Amino acid sequence: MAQRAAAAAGEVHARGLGRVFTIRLSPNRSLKAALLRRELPRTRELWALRDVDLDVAPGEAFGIVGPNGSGKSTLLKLIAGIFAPSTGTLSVGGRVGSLIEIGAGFHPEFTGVENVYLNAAIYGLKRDYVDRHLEEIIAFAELESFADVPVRTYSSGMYMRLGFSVAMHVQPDVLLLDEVLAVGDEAFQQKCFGKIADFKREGGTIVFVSHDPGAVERLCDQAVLLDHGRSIERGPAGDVVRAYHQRLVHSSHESADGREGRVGGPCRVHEVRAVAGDGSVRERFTEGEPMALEVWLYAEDGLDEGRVTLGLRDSGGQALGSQTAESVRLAPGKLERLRLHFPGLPLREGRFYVDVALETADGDALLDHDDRALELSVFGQEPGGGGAIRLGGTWELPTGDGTGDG
Amino acid sequence: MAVNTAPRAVLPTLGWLPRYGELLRTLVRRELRARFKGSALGLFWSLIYPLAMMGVYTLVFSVLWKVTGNIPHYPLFVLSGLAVWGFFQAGIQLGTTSLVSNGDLITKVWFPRELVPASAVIAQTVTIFVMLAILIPTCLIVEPENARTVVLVVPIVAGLICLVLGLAWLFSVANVFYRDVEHLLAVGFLPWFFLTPVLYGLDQFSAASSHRWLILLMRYGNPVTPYVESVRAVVLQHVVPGAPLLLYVFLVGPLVGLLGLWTMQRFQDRIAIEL
Repeated sequence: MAQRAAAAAGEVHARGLGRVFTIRLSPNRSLKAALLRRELPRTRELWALRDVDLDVAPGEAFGIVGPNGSGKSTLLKLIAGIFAPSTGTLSVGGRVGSLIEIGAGFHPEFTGVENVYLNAAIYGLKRDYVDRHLEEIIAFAELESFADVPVRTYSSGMYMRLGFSVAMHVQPDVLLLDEVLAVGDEAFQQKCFGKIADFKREGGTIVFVSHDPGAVERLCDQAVLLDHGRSIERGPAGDVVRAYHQRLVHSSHESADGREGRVGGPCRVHEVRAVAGDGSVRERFTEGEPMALEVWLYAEDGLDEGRVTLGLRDSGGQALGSQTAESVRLAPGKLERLRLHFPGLPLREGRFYVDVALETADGDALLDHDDRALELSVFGQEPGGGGAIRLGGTWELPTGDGTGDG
Repeated sequence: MAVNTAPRAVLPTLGWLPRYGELLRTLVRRELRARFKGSALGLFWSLIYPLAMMGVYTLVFSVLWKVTGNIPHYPLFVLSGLAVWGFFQAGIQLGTTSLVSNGDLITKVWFPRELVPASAVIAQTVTIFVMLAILIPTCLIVEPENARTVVLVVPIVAGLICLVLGLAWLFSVANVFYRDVEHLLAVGFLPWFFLTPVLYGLDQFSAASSHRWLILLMRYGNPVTPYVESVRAVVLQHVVPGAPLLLYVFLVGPLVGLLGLWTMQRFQDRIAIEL
């Protein structure tokens, strides 16, 4: 029987933790349809997490790594209590502060201040506690002049700052973090990491989820590697991260499945990644940030001349643009990399998909393709500004005194 | 130490109330502000509408059509019905959509989900309180004898609030799984209104004696009818409702409330997934 049991403040324990989701195969959202067809939607069970054991001691920073769809977010959401476990036991001691996704626990229509009260109330804090700390919270988030504006007008950087500030001021025993920290300007990130370090020094527990093994290695003491919902490796963060790297390399030679290490013909697209200016692999970027899209290709017998096209679509599937590399040569039996560099990411806030296609030189045969090979989240820095594309360009303004040639 | 998820209860529980009372207050306060401060006239609007409808119904049924001959104080008769019906309809409609419209919150943090529809309903109680605050003094002036029975309105309205809470919980969960529930409900409320004795009294018809089963069905088959009739009885007609009606009023509301709460807690986990 799945349950949550008691634990001392700052501890997280899990035994045989599992979570199954029922996926509806036919997206049936209407009662009318259900009644007319007289059948319940067909469903399938999917284990997002299976038999995971965890022990996090108070004051420890614990990392969760693994490829997409390995169950990282599910595990975090279980610890946050958003879902209940299907099997096993989970005990989390004390107050859990969560910074899962941008604006966790914000209501878009509330103002910044209202959201602080709402968020604090969700954490079970009394109003007078917030009254006393309100100024401090707003000041830390650097949102003094936006405090009384509905947060739906905030940029995601502002969202994140407010979310972080609240989460740090509710005196959590366990702090759940995911990659939201990749958002925001450099200075604020430094401030965040300073605050997190303080939090850890004072005995707070951190659970951190990331695609970026480097970040986990820097921040965490212990870690777990998840794959297909199972825990593959547990132990000191450094060891786990090494195991993760090894798996990534191996999966390219074995016929692995899923996103990582796709099986194709003799020529295939192995992986698509996004790399930030500092070399870290991420899926969240700030508008205008320098970055590169990286495609890993594998050709069993090599490829003399191929064509690689990277396409970008918005979350609605609308194509935004593409770029083709001609004359791509691949050595036989080796993973090869090509990169498309952007000095400034030309996208505005939103979610985007990267498609990749590998063709023969004349474009006659499609050797491999991967739609939605990568999902990117881009965050704006300033509120306002519409459209998916960061237009760029420079302005030349009228002088205002009629001396222009107009 | 505190665990941030309540263990899954077999029976409905209000055990979360002390810890999340502050959250409930915050949500209600926010709901009130959104509902009544948004427009220039604020709360005034929620009053103007039933008063205007009272005028229209009186004009049509009493002055023009003259079918209300044996109902004394017809405008107050209508208004007492509208007070109950207005809260019933608005509370359920706002409660039903509340889970879906607060999906952002629900999928990202944990708190007892029942708070969301509850806050919509609780904020809406303001409308019935304001209506009663106008209705009761007026009725007392018109018929001072109402002073003897009017105090009974308190437990009756308490029962009504339980009923609306329960139905809001039930429908809001249904709406998470089937998104057209709110639309079906919106369509259903119009015939429901005419089947509820707001504009007429069930005992007023000549058919009342020849179709007794029909009147019984209309009275007890429609959960809001006993509340309309008993509020009207104690506020306007200085009559203590009969035992069957009182029993219904005090039992059905709380029972539906418990059923709604139980449903909510039963589906607690699946709500976040479906959203």
